[in-house]
Amino acid sequence: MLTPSRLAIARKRRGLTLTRLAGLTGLSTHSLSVYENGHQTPSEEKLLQLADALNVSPAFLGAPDLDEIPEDAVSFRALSKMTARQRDRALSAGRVALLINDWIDARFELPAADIPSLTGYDPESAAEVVRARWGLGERPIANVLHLLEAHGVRIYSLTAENNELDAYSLYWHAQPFIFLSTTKTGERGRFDAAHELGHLVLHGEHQVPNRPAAEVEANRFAAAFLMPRASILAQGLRDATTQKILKAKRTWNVAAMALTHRLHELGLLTEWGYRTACVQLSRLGYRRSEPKGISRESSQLLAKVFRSVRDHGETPAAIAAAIGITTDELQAHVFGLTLTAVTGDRHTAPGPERGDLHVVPPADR
Amino acid sequence: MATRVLVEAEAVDRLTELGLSVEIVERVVRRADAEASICTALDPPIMEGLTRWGRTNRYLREELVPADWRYDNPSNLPRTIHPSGDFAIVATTGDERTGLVELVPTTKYPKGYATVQAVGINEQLTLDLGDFDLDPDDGRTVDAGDLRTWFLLFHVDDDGFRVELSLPDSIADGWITSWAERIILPDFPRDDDRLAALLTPGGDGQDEGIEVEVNRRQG
Repeated sequence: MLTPSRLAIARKRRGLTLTRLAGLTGLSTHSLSVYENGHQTPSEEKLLQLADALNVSPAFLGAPDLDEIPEDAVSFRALSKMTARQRDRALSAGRVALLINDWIDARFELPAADIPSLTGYDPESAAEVVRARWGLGERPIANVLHLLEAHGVRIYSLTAENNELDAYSLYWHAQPFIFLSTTKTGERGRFDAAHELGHLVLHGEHQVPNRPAAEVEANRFAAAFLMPRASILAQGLRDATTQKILKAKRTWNVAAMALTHRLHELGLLTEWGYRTACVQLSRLGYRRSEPKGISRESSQLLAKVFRSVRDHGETPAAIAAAIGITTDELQAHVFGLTLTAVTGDRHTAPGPERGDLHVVPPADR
Repeated sequence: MATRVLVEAEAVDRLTELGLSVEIVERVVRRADAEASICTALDPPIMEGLTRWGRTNRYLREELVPADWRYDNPSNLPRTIHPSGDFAIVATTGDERTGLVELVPTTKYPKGYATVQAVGINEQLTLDLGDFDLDPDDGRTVDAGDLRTWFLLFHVDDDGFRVELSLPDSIADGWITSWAERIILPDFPRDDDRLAALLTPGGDGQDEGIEVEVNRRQG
């Protein structure tokens, strides 16, 4: 039996149009369309063909109905530049990550969501409220991802095809999620995560977050959250030179450009000083990347889960099989968040329980 | 007089006898630390320590008052008083020897009249009673001034918090010079000093810093 919503999600996850999928499977666009609408069910053989082309197991396509992530649940930073196909691909990939999360959630007690809802707050005040609520004072944040995870946010990786996005976030049945590109610099990753926290805090209720103003607000929140006004003011950065900015950014583990912008925003740099710093930093390569930057933060939650999975003699392949996806697909959603836990397993000898699996894991690429 | 020093399991048991626990004290110390962390270089320099001291006493009371403890502030000494009326606790900043078994700590700053009085009474009760176990059957009647004053000494440095609950029995020139009993709590590691450890995952499971609680569900 085919579940129409799952066919649609698996197709969009691959960034395929109906026509393209028709080309890959030899099925007609019309048949695919009626399958997705639920007007007709494919034969067992055609189901296998579809599963194969979509890189999922037949069981995935036949499992209970899945509701798609509605597009207006999410704020995309570069929405105007995205095609519908790119947007659908990102959301469908997120939907698969939610399935991975269901698997984990069923087996592990995880921190409960503790994100204040501050709709309508000015971003600067909202950042102060969150800091106060979480007992952070004015201190720099040592690890943004661990902090978010400890307050109940689940973090997954954007899959490689979606890396033109920086991140997106959403509430799914009251559970906050952040999907983060894990290919940017460490500083950028921290800022992106704080930006998404801004969306969760400021735009978590009522409002469709999908508008340019929401992006500006989330950026202002991220800057204020990572670089609190009071702590910046206390560092003697008025009219800071580029050298001083490069030194000071290490205090908050932010990008040099982000700090420069923040100093300007707080009136500590004149217009002229701001422009000069931007030009100089650009020349030094700080616009496109972060020379001598920090390493990326990883997920403590996923690392612990996969460590426990391994300690219980289970394998990532078994998790993937239970969800109906390939091990590579599972990897793609945690890529860059767990440095060793998942991949390490693939190089060790398979445990004896592998024989009990009824879905054969795919060969390593 | 020899100091009775309790550590680990003995310390935990003794805290329980006194109606406290390591968890309560840790919560108090960490919450006060979060408040102190609001201070920046633009605060007057004493503000961080003052905030920490003030909030430690307040949060201690917030934990204990619901459990029928009382409080008063004679001569500005912030006492939190056990329901039995036998003893009180005052949180105060300790010097760098705080929490170290082999050394004899004192307070970070010299103390005034109220502390001198309180320690005097401790000394008196020590001589009178000769032991410090809280024995409800000792037949002793409690007078208003007949109250031992324990000090919750806390010390913060880059490594974390060292805390002990200790009963002083002599004081000279405002400095506590000896202790009848010291209950040494385990060290509480500091949150933000361990970034390096945090960024090296896959270790021995002893991730430090922010702890994301992940536990297998039962059944």
